[in-house]
Order: sequence, then structure tokens, then C-alpha cells
Amino acid sequence: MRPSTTAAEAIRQMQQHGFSQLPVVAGNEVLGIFSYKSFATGTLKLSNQPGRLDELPVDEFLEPAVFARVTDDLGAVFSQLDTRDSVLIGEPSRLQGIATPMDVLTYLYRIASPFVYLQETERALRALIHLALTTEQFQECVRVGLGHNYRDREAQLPTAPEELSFGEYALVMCSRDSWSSFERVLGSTRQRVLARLKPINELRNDVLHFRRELTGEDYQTLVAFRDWLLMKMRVLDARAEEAADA
Amino acid sequence: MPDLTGELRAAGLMPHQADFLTRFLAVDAPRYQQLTAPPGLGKTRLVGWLVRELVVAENRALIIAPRFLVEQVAARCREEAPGTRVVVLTKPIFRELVSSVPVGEAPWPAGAVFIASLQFVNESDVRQAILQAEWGLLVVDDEHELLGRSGAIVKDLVTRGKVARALFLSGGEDATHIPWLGSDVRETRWTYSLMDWEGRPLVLPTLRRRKIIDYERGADEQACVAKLLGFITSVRSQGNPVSEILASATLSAASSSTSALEQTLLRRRSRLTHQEPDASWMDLSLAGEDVSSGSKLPGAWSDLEAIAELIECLDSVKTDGKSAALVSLLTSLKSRAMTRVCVFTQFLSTANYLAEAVEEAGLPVLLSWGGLPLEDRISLTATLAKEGGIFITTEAASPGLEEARVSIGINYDLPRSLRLMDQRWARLYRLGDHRPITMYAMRDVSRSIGEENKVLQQFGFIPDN
Repeated sequence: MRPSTTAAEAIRQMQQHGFSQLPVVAGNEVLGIFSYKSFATGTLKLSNQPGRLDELPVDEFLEPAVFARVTDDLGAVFSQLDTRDSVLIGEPSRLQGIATPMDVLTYLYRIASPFVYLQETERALRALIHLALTTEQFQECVRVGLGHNYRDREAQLPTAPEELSFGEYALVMCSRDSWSSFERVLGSTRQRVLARLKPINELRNDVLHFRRELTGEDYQTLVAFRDWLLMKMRVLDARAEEAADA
Repeated sequence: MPDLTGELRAAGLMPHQADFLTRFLAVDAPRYQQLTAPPGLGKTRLVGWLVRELVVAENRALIIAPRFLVEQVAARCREEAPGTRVVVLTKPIFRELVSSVPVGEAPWPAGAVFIASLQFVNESDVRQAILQAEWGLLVVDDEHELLGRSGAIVKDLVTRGKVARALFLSGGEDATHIPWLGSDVRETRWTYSLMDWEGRPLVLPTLRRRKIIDYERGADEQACVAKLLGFITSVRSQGNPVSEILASATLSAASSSTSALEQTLLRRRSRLTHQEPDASWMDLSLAGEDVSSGSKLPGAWSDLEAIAELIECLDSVKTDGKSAALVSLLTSLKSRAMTRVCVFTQFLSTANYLAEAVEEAGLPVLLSWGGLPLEDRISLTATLAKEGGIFITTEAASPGLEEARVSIGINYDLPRSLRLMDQRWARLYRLGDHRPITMYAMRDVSRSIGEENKVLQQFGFIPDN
């Protein structure tokens, strides 16, 4: 926005594009920020001015621009984002972008959501194992599914679902000998469930080892798997209620 | 340009590639060229050579390729043009480029080639920066995409005179008519009847054998398919373009495997549960279609209960005649010392499932899909070439497979188009190979899904009735 643009035109532009503030620039130099807030504050200040205030140029309503560099720590700009609703990225003579609280929230959501989905998935898997097996049955499934991996260190075999690593869920739930216990909970077939579990394990490793950013399809896979587990848990809960009623 | 031809021959290029390059590089060559060629005839290598010849210190190149091919094209450019900086564009790399130049300047250093997908170059900031620069060479792989809305960036580059030379590649039968290219354009078409330097055919159609493997869906599977078909019929009766796309995709998944169908329905269910926008709607929109009537899915596709019922029905399916037939075929091939076999599928969920089923039968499995890093896919192909095995792959992961010289391909499901089928054939050929290749397809004798037989006819696996 040029400094000579009228406040009315600036507000029209902001409404049209859904912005709440705009940098005002002369040449390559950022002079300040025009925003709904700066306009309201300026209106109070200029209330004795004759004529329509919205026809004044935007540089009458500027608030100072606060800059952060692309390399700055995100946490350092939180207070600016809180009080000013935006931070300019770059320098006064080299504006590279504008960050808003929503941009930060979207970014943090994007990087945090795989961890949340994985946490929910893992908790759902544990809950399902608890629902499907007694303690004795669990120990038997662990012995059958993981015995080979724990040869010569049997004392370290997991004693509760919470002690299983993600890769071990597939071995415990989908080994030939323990499948019958899980079939009534999960339905489908052993191979199909295995084929669903293994990619989740790979996605988990990719996320936790920061190997790559997940794609949209990866997200869909994670969410669909988590939802499937939650659906199975609801079915189990309903069955348990029916049994209690009977 | 005899010297160049000799150099190209010595470098292992075939006559059609050398001829195209010399004509492309001729002083009086048209500014824009369209090359139509089925897969497997060496288009990507050609692009590498164009980069080598045309990208010099004072200019730059932009290559727009399908997303799953971007890394492969980059690898080829690095190989053929070792002195050139090859950059696969991602958002962080783009940001770094932008912040390394003064405000308002184009962020593309000279002497480099930039490779990205059409989706990426259409992101508003990237698009704006691309239109700022002058490009010595522009290559667009899959020119048919250019006629949609997402192709407008290429139109803008051409009509604003930002491109010195351009090559538009197509895997289809004919070059797409692109009105805004004007008259300074030449079309070249390669077919499988090309010759090598000694005048021998490069690809012998008679060495392509097609075979059918019959199987039968179990009663439980047939019951679920019948239920699904009833659902699809109600979807199709709505006459909504988005519903139709989803219906076709769902039938295609059902035709592949129970796993693929389960995954499709589970995703649909999740989207409905979380009220997420529909991907098919967005794809259509990007392609320039008017989707205003399809922005809200009416009726069946929004029927969470019906979809949950279908998922429940699939949970009860315990048989799988198709995968049993596959395992039986693979076992038989192994007993006949056929050690390198490639199984193609459209669906990652089918690939994962088959890997389990085949491994359980004691057969060595190599599983490749588009999400694997390129180096891992190359390493899997090398293992296949060296040690043999059952290479299960999705469409996106199969480029480069031709290096393993596999002579048996199995279409566990059939691809969506003749072009993709050609690509599967091409994965089994190396240019100049004269080995017989056998391609199998699976046929359900219970004919639960009527469309399957039509597709088998379309791809030449069974004769037209």
C-alpha cells in the first residue's frame, strides 16, 4: 500500500482480501502498518480534523512496524503477535513477508498434528489390547509373538501393552497363534490388518526421526487408521454394555 | 551437426534421440517443439541432454513434471549434465532462493535447472517469481495438463515471451493442440517401430505376450461387492460429477483388492466425520472444471451410516481368491526358475497387503512405492537385478525398473488408462531389448464387477466379443 492511498481505499482492499492490516511502503522502504486498530486509534487522535477522516492518506494512521528476521526464534515474537496481531519478516528496506498469529497457529498445528494422531493411535491400540485380552492371554501373545526377538532375555518381555514398541503391536496382534484373540475385535483378516499396521509404523518412524514431512495422503492414512481403531473400540464398548445388560 | 550425432551415439543415445536433439538444437529450429512418444523410448534422457546442451552460464531452465517423476527427472539431469546445478523445488528451497536476492528480483540463479510439479509452480508466490524471469529452456512433461486452469502459467510464460526454447512432452497418441503456441512449433512423434543404429527394431511387438490368470471371488466377497454395487448405483443416479469420480475410484479400488476398498471407504468415512473438503472436488477445480454444482456432495456419498455398513461388511470377508491365485502363479513361476517378477498395482494398500500375502508364502518380496526416497527405490531395483525376487510396486514407484530386466509383469489390477498400461510395459523394457516379455492380468470368473471384463478387452488381454 502506498502512503498516499486513502484510508477508505485501504479498508476496501483489506475487506476484499480478508486482511486485518497492510504494510505501507514507499519504494522498498516499509514506513509502518495500517490496520483496523491503527485507523480506530488515529480517528480518535484526529477527531478535531475537518472533513472525512477516511479520505485522509494511510500514512496519517500508521503504527510502527516491528520486524523479525527469518532466523529469529519463534517464541521471541509471541508477545509482538499478541499485542500487534502481526510481525513483519525481513528488514524495513527488505520486506519478505508478514506473519500473523493464525500463520503461527497453522504452522504449529501442521508440525504437531502427526504426533497427536500417533499418540491417539497408540493409545487406541493399547486400549484395544486391554479389551481383547486378559493379563494371562496378553503374556501368552507376547511370548508367542515376541519370543524370538527376546531370545536369551525373556525377563525383559513386555508385561503390559504400555511396554510394547509400535513395531511390536503388529507382532503381538497379528502372529498366527494370537490372531484368533484379535479377530473378534478387529474383524477383517490377519494379513489385511498387518498391511494396515505396518505402514503406520513406518509413518511413525518417519515422524519421530524427522526423516520427512508427511504428505496429505500420509495424514489421511493416519487419520483413517486412528478412526478405524476408535470405531472398533466403540463396537467393543457397545458389546460390553449389551453383555452387562443381559 | 555430425559431431554432435557422433557424440550422442558414443554416449549411448539411440538414433531417434540423436536426431531429435540435433534438430532441436539447430540454429533454425522452431522455438517450441512437441514430442509425442509412448513410455520407454527415452524421453527423460533426452531432457537431460537438452539441459546439458542449453543450460549455460547466462540462462536457466524450468522443467515441469508430474510429481512422482520430479526426483527421477532430477537424477537424470544430474547424470547427463554433471556441470549444471539441478534444483528440485520445495517450499523451503524456494524461500531460501527468494531471500538470497534483493527484493523484487527474480530468485532464479543462472546456470541452473529448476524442477517442480505443476501443482507447485501454481502456488501463487512461486508462480509470480517464475513469471518474473527469462527462461532459456522450458520443458513440460505431460502437455495435456496445459489445457486446464493449472496450465495457465505455461501459457503466460509463452505468450509473454519469457521462454527462449520449449519442449512439450506427451505420452499420448497425438500431440495436444495448444492454440497459444502459435505457428513457430514443430511436432515429432515416436512410436514403438523405431530402429537402433544397426537398423534393427528397438521394440518388437511380437515379443509382448499377454496371459490371463483366472480366479474366483469367494461368496463372502461377492456378497460385499454386490452391496457396494447397489451403493454405487445410487451414487451414479445423482448425476453429480464429483460423485461420479468417487464412484469410479471406489469401483477401481474394489477391483484391486479388499484392502484397497477398505482403505478408500475408511478415508471417505474419516472425511465425512471430520467434515473435510473433498479431494476430488479440489482436483476438478484445479483442472479448470466448473464444480459449483459438486461442491456439496448430495445423498449417498454423505451417508455415513451406509459407508460404515460397507466397512463392516468388508470386515466379515475372510477369503481372497485373487491373492491366492497370485501366490499360486508366483510359486509356479519360481519353480520354473523365473526369478524376477514384477507385480503392478494402482494402490499402496493393495501393495502392502500383497507384500504380506506373498511373504507369508515364503517368497522373497521387494516392496516399492512412490513415497520411498528415490535412492531407496534405486536400491530395491538393484537388489531385484542382482538377487531376483517379487517386486511389488505402485505406478508411482516403478520408473527406473527397466534397469532390472524383468521379463514377467503381473497386473494385479489394471491401470486407469492405456497410457499407464503402456508405462507398465515400458518398465519391463530397456531401449533396444529383444527379450520376450510376458504380462499377466487377473480375471474374476465370477464376474462380480461387470466393468472388469471391458477393461481387460480394452488392454488386449481378452478378445472383443
